[in-house]
Amino acid sequence: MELVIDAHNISKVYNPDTIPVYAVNNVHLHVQRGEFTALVGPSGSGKTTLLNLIGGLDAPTEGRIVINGTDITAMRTNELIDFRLRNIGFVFQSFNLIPVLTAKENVEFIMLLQGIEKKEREERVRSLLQEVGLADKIDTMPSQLSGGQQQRVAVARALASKPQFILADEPTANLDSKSASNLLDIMAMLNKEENMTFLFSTHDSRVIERARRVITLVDGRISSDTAAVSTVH
Amino acid sequence: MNLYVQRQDLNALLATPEAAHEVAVLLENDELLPTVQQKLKAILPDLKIENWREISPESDLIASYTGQSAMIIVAIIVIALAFGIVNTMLMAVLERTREIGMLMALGMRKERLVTMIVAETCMLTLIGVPVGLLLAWATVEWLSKKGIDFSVFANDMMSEFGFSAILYPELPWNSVLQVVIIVICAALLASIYPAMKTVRLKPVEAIKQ
Ligand SMILES: Nc1ncnc2c1ncn2[C@@H]1O[C@H](COP(=O)(O)OP(=O)(O)O)[C@@H](O)[C@H]1O
Ligand SMILES: [Mg+2]
Repeated sequence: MELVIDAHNISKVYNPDTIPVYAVNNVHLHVQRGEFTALVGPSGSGKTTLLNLIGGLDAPTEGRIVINGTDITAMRTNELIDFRLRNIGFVFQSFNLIPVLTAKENVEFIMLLQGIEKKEREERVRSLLQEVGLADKIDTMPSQLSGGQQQRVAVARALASKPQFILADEPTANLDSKSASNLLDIMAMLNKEENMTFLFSTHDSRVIERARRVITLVDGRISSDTAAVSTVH
Repeated sequence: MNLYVQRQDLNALLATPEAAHEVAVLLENDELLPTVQQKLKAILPDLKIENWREISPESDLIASYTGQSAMIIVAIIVIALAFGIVNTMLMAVLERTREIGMLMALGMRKERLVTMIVAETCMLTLIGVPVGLLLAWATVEWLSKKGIDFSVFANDMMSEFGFSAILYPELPWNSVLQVVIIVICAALLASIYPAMKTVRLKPVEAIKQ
């Protein structure tokens, strides 16, 4: 087994000086390569905060985060930006595609930032959009795509940088059930065929069913973890 | 009251054949005044050579007052213009805070983002300034042919001081250059400041907005 995410007793406290809010409270979490894991819990339980900490978008108040053997906790801003570019794929709840770029350009620009050659970029964009079932939408603007299609472009974009893992914060929250199930099919396929690690938050029971491991957060703490349960057995 | 008579008649009455006691010289351009006056003085040392400012100090006063108030009006317009540009560029950057946060999250370095925003501003300015200049030039060109007729408002007043009631404007290119420089500086400053402010946000904060 290969440990890709090692969150070591991390906490995130908001407003430490006034009314402290423990959004994430002493969480200890290991994720191995190839996992397909759901982070569940009621609204306000700290799912977004935890994913932001793991993704290096926010710094923990306490604890250490080690990604693929590299401690990101003490990294400086630009160092962390470069690290995210090379190691972490993001899918956001509200798609967050660049409105003035086509599907192809949205996927391509991340490889442009990585300094990948044009020929390789073009080939990879083509195959990625093919994988998410949007080969025919390659030159379409995001505004001309449905929510489900936009989110599939976002998944292709997350994959483009060849990250260690993909973090997705409620990726299906803005999708109808058919698009949601279609997105999950694609994510599961990428997980199976390319051994891509996924950590996604959700509170949709149909999405939770698809996960192989389910971590439940309550008030910023892990209240149950099916993987932990199965290893205890 | 003005009375016009033939010069021969007047000469006959005054018994001064072929004489004139005053000759008016009309110049193409007011800027030629000092040199022409100098030259005439050199050629005709016995004659009194006066320019219109010396003959009619009250017209001179009005002309210089008008010049000063025009400067004040131009200054006010330029300040309003600068604020307009600052506001536009500020909005152009601030309304994209989310997008900028997303780019930071995905891995675009801060200096690269600032460069991108400033480059966009430069492009906007490089398109906007020539278009604006062209429109201004076309308008002034048209008016300089057609003239702006003020006779309805101030026919008597204008002609009393020797001004035509119809004005033919022209574009003063050196002030145009000043305005262009002000516009470019205002646009750059107005984009650099919010760009620096935005990239100083954490990506999560920027995305939330
Ligand atoms: N920027 C912030 N400032 C203060 N409190 C925050 C901030 N962000 C999140 N919180 C609080 O942290 C807790 C966890 O929020 P969040 O991680 O968004 O939960 P979830 O994604 O599970 O709904 C909530 O109580 C929320 O109000
Ligand atoms: Mg959330």
